[in-house]
Amino acid sequence: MQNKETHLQQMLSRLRTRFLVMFAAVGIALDEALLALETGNKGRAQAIIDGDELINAKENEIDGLALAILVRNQPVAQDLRFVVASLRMVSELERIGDEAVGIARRILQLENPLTPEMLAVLDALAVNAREMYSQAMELFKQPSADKALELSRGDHNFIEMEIEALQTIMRRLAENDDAREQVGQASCSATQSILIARALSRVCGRATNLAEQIYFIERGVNIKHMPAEEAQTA
Amino acid sequence: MKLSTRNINFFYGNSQALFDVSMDFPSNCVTALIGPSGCGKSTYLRCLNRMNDLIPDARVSGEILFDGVNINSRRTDVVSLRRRVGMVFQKPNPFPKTIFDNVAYGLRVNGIRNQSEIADRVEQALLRAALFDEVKDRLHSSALGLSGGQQQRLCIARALAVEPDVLLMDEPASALDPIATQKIEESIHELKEQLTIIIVTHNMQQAARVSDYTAFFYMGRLIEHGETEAMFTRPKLKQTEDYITGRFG
Repeated sequence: MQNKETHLQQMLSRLRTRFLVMFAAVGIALDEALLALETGNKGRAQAIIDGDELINAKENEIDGLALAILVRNQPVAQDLRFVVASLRMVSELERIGDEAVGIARRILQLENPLTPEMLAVLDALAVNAREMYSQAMELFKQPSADKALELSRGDHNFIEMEIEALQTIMRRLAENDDAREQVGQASCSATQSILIARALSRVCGRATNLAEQIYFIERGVNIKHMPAEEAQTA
Repeated sequence: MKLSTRNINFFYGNSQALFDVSMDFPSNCVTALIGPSGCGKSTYLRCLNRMNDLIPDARVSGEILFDGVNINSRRTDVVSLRRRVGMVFQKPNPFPKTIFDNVAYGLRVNGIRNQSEIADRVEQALLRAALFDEVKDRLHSSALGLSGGQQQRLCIARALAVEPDVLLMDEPASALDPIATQKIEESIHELKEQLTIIIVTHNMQQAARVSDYTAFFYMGRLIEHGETEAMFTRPKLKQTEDYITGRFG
């Protein structure tokens, strides 16, 4: 056995490191978006939008590196699966970054910070999105096929949470004449809250997509679009 | 199965080079044999048309079933066997004759005298080896004037002229440039429609490109054998994974 890292292994380590950096950067953007939402801090929201360029640059860097590995090293087996999954994961990560930017834009459009009642409606979804993202990041750091399957096909209820948030917002609108009149205006807190709920739900969905890719790297089986029961036995 | 082996053990004198190798080669498929130098893949390949008979002190045990008949038997006519199981070697080895005579050689040795039949079969063999267009205007020039890649395709044409059922290729492109290599690989893709091909290669990418099945040998043993796509994306054994990803040499 040889202990010295080959050129391919060095390239793969570099790719992994760049991913860890991007996971962290997107995680920070998400955290900042949730904090800006909670505090109504528009400066913080603007900083997320400004910082998105860096996340986009990281996506390009990872894309280029993965392509270089394919061209120069023609990896096989787990190395190949890692590079192929990287190309899919980097796109998911960049889009999670875009969801954070989307939330920041909603905050900037609000005339006043969301009321504690409206924040409470979004809270469960926000906590869930952050938790699922953290789990996906941990899976990348310490891959486990079983945990990846659990995250990708587990009993998540983020879609129900989104529907519940939507229903609560609509119900409050129906009960409040002033709020109803504001619907259609960009500053309407109900409209912006619905869009924020959508963005948070998408973060959850993308975290499950990341888990699918970790499973692919570990087991070599693509469980995308596979029902839960089938994925369990794949 | 066109060809199968059962419990092949091979010895160079007292040194055992192959241990209980059992494997099947489906018809019209390409099987790549991979593994580090000295792992026994070329020895195994040469068992399949009894080329090892030419090595003093070499002996082999086990069954080699060609169309169901054990060819590892004293009764086997090895000349006839080698006509049906042709071979192409790492280094092109054209005879110091014309291009035409190189390809016609096997036909004449096999007793074909009809000149128009010989000419027809030479042309067909050169076409199948993807060489005809490049040499059609100089068929009666010396084969030694061809480039390395052309010489190797000439050797393939020479093997094809006698219409074998199986073609054994021992690192056929290892001494060739990328363009010549690509031409050989394209020929392999086309030839497998009529032949069963077994190729030894050190080039993992080549194995992945040309073969339907891949077999990994290590220290004289067959470690893993399966569909190429699976072998190169999710091998079952860590030993295979370590070899194909370059984690051990």
